[in-house]
Amino acid sequence: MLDIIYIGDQIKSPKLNTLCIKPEALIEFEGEIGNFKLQVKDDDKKLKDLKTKYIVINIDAVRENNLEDTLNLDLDLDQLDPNQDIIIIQDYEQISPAVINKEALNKAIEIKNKLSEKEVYFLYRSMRFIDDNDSLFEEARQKGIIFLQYEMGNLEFIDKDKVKYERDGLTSELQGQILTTPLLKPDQRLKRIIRLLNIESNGNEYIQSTNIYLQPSLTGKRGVYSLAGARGPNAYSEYEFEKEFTLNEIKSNLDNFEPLTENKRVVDDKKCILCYTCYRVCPHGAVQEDKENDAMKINELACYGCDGCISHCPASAISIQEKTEQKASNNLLKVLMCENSADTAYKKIDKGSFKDLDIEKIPCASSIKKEDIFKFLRKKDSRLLILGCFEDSCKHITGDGRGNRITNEIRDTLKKLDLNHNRVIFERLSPRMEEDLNGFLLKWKEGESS
Amino acid sequence: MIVAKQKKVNEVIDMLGDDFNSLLIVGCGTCVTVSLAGGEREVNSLAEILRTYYANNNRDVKIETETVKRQCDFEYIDQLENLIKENDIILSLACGIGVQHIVERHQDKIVLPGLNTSFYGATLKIGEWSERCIGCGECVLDQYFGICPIARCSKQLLNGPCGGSQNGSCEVDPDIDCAWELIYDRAVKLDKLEDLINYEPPKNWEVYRDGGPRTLIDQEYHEDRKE
Ligand code: SF4
Ligand code: SF4
Ligand code: SF4
Ligand code: SF4
Repeated sequence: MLDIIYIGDQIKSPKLNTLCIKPEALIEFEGEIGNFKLQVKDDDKKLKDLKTKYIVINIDAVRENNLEDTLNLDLDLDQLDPNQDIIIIQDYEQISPAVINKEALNKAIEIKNKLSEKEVYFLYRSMRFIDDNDSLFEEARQKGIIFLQYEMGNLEFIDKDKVKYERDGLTSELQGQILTTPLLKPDQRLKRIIRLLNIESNGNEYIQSTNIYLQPSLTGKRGVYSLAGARGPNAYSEYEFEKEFTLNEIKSNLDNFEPLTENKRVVDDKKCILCYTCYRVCPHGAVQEDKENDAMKINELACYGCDGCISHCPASAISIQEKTEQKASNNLLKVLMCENSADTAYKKIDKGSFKDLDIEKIPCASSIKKEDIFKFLRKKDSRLLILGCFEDSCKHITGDGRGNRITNEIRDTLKKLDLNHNRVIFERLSPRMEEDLNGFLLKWKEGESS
Repeated sequence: MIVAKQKKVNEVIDMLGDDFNSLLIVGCGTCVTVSLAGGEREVNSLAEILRTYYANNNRDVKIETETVKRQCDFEYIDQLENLIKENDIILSLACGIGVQHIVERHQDKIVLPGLNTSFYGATLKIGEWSERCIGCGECVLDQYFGICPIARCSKQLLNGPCGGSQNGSCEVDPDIDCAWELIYDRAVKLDKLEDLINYEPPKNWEVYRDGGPRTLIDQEYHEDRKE
């Protein structure tokens, strides 16, 4: 059993038992934190099985030439014509991440050192003052590099070696060897890794979107981390910190991982029809097919207990083992509070005015079930308030959206039934919005709906 | 699989009418469960929705639910025999095959469809399906590199695209991929473009619906019916 498998580039991690594989070598993947099983095809096309406790995806973003016929950042200085000025263009079409900004500044300084009697122009839309970019910027200016800020409409390529630059009504033409900074794109092999590991990616096909609940290199799937370009171009600025964090976390967790939730979610293999809905829904990649039982299984150590799978399984095949039955209450006003946002905020407020509400803590807004909600709505004049998280702060990545969607479907149905759809309301909160929560609850109690 | 969509709940209520006191909603545990329209979860939610509606409108209706593995086999329908007999109306959340199969067993019952049966399709992502085959009776996928011009070309063209396709989209609806563009791209990828040059004669539609409703008999099980 290995400690870490790196997918992409190896990171020096002494004292740990690690191995590095190429992204394209991964064929099959299963298991959970502490016991991932990977099937890999090595260079001589032989299949072998590997076992590891952790996985770190460390794949660089791909650099794409921004404009044809221009020079690149990685050029050899000898390629330059010593008799011509240099025009470095950053942020063309797309604002460059800090890592590219830094490289461009370094390159500009190098060029200026070499061709000191030539002008070096540096056209940019935005300086990213992260790391030591500000001191580089300072150094470059002292060396006499000319910095010119532009907006997209104000820069025009007129020739291979000529640009027209306009600012504050003044137009000037610059002539020289043009060098553009590259665009960073996700490595195409990431897509396959994302699919095989069943982890979330953002719309740009990098692993995971910004989520204030997650440490940057966490993927949402327990035991799998992503670093560098796999996370997106901005991750480079945090690379050292994130690498450190990841290795430290792995070291301190080794041999000591426990389930995140006390109650196991279990799939009834007689009811499961292998539709894969739970697999697609689970934000933590905790669901896998159990080939022996012809049903899905939920990996205990990887499950966060958000119950999204339970509310989405069309065959009602998933349940919580040993769940104590909620006793039915006759209260007409019910509030479902996500434990990560609303319930955390609720702990901080004076509950005096809310003693008469039926308040239930739920693991995630996505765990609400239509069936249960309509059961509650059967009581005339009953009203339900569902409090979930803001987008990007949902601990279960996509839970807020799914909860919102289910609520909208319910409201839609109520409209079709000629019943008041404002009997069910969904609001978003953060754990720090106790004052807003107080306001919401008071207003809602009074029967005003937003 | 067969992809279906639930009928709008107000339509279901209209269809049910006022003249009944008990209702059995029957789900189907195969295709329509996967297409998130008629499985146990949908059956239970629909039951709760209807109970909510009738309770809020002061009507006393008893609603029972059951989901069987498949409604297109009598063996499963027979498991419901008593339940069906006990209820005034049966609302089937299977495809149209399931509804009719219950009717065939229970001639004296009102059996209503709760779904709109849509097509044979594949899951693209959760909650999204796309038509891939129409069951034409004589598969030609071999000649079109695995992309069906019958099901996926709006005009069912066999010999190349019409003039309306643009940027990979069908002129009928820009959200539909032009099947012929897909076929062409595959041909290029497989380096078999010249295979598309041959003229393809009209298809034999006798084996499709045009020859009337179809029955399929597997001779192996029916020695006596050998031609
Ligand atoms: S959603 Fe339910 S029926 Fe579908 S695969 Fe998961 S457990 Fe099985
Ligand atoms: S409860 Fe949540 S984390 Fe656990 S398996 Fe279900 S969807 Fe995944
Ligand atoms: S009745 Fe229809 S939906 Fe149900 S299994 Fe048969 S074909 Fe599929
Ligand atoms: S040709 Fe198309 S419609 Fe006919 S069987 Fe094949 S896939 Fe289905």
